[in-house]
Amino acid sequence: MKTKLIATLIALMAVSQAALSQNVNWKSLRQDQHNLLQLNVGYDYGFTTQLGYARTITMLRPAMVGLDFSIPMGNDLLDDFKVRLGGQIEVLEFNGFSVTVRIASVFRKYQSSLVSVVGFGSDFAIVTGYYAPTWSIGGEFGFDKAITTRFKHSAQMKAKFPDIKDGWYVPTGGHYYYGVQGGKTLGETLDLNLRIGATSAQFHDQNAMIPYYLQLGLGARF
Amino acid sequence: MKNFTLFVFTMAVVAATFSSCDILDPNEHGQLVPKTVDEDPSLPSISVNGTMLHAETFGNPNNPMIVVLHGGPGGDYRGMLKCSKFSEDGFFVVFYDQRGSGLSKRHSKDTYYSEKIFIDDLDAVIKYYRRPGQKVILMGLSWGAMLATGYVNSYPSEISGVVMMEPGGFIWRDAEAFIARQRSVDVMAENINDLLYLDQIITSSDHILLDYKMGLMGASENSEGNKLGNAGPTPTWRSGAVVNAAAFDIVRRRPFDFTTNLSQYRTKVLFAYGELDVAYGKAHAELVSSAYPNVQLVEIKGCGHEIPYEGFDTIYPIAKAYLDTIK
Repeated sequence: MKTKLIATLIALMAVSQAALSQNVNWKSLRQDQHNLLQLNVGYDYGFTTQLGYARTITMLRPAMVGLDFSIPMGNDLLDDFKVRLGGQIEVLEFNGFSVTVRIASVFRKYQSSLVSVVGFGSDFAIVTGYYAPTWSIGGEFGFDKAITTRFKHSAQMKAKFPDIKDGWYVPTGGHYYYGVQGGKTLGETLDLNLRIGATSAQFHDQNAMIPYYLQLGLGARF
Repeated sequence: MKNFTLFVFTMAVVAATFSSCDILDPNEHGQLVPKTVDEDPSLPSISVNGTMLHAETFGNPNNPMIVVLHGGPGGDYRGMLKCSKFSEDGFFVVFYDQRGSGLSKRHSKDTYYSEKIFIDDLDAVIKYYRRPGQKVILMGLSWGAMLATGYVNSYPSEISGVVMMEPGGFIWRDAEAFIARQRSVDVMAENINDLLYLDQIITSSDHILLDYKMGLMGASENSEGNKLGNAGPTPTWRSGAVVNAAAFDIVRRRPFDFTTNLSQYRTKVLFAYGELDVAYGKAHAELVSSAYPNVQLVEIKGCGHEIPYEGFDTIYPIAKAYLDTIK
């Protein structure tokens, strides 16, 4: 059982090695612009700030790989954070209409007075829309899975429940997400981006307290 | 080649990490949260009204009965156990975890058709323990105090006294206002992360993970700067997430009013609120308590919402004096 779970996890993370999380307008990327730096703020299971970097790679279709790092607000900056490593590839394009597939590995950390949590997961999405050289609009549909999570409980938690088990739990959760996104270029190198949407817990699971997301960002192409 | 090497290295690290660890099933009983009475026969329990409740008693069963009602819905009585002291003062003290709460049996969400089910369960508990002619006093914290009032509103002649500690409100409108003040937050504060960030990591429809998650999220209620004035965590066993969600669904569909018959209850009641609970305060205490015709209103100094735990030494002599008038 454990061997199958490890193998599944490795396969999922292997698939995720070539994807990315930034909003990309393929039409606005010039030939000499291979790098994309983005700063986003918004709501993503917390009021978050995200910094991301991506780079184009040579493939049959336009593609980028990269990573982003996001933290929620709070006094303790690094007790909670999320890192996504992945990429995206434009699989279809016709007269400005485009379909992009986006995949990422996700690493999450959460800490409170009761528990320290680290988790691995994956994020898969399809983005489709219309992309012009100076603006874009589209919709996205994705699935964010928390595959395996380690819970390490504090002394306070163990005093409450001495038999509580620390360890890696598989699986622990997942959300579908769907929304719209748009962008506008500013000059030759900058883009303003907006993503807004809703989340829905997998299967019949209870939804998040605030089942929405919002991301406003500024990107620089160079 | 470099990329391939990096990829293989990463996978090797991943494999090494997980191969050295036990992989646990989050839905396994007794790993993340304690078992309930129907899962662990060693726990004390009673079977009433189609459910199984975690329950225990202190004192002589022939003495006037105090039934202790915990908060929530979905809390438990562990943080109220100091009230067992009243058993030394000539009372028979009954504790129980309400349906779907604490270590009591779990039920599906559609079991909770209205707030009447909680009142019916309380009635069944009273009938289970009560001896002929025995006086019954209700002692409740927060939602427990609201439940006590709901019972008094339905059965005013059955109850000889009521001790209430910060009931949110006897009309949903008042309770909703208190909850809104309690939950008003600084969106940049750390305790918001405790509450919200966990949602992306844990999702479930199963009682075990839902209760576990609710317990973790509850840490934000006791974090620094909390509006309830709680100095720290209060002992609990297990949260009841489904019953909590069901109760809020019920009240949104049909807001409750536990005051329709209260004017008939002329017996003096003891109503306490915590000095440090800024979400509650004297004005709210006066508003809520005004539903009773005969009220002894007291402020518990140096204490927030968790009066039976953090403020017990202060409320004990006040409550004892009140209870002695009923004996």
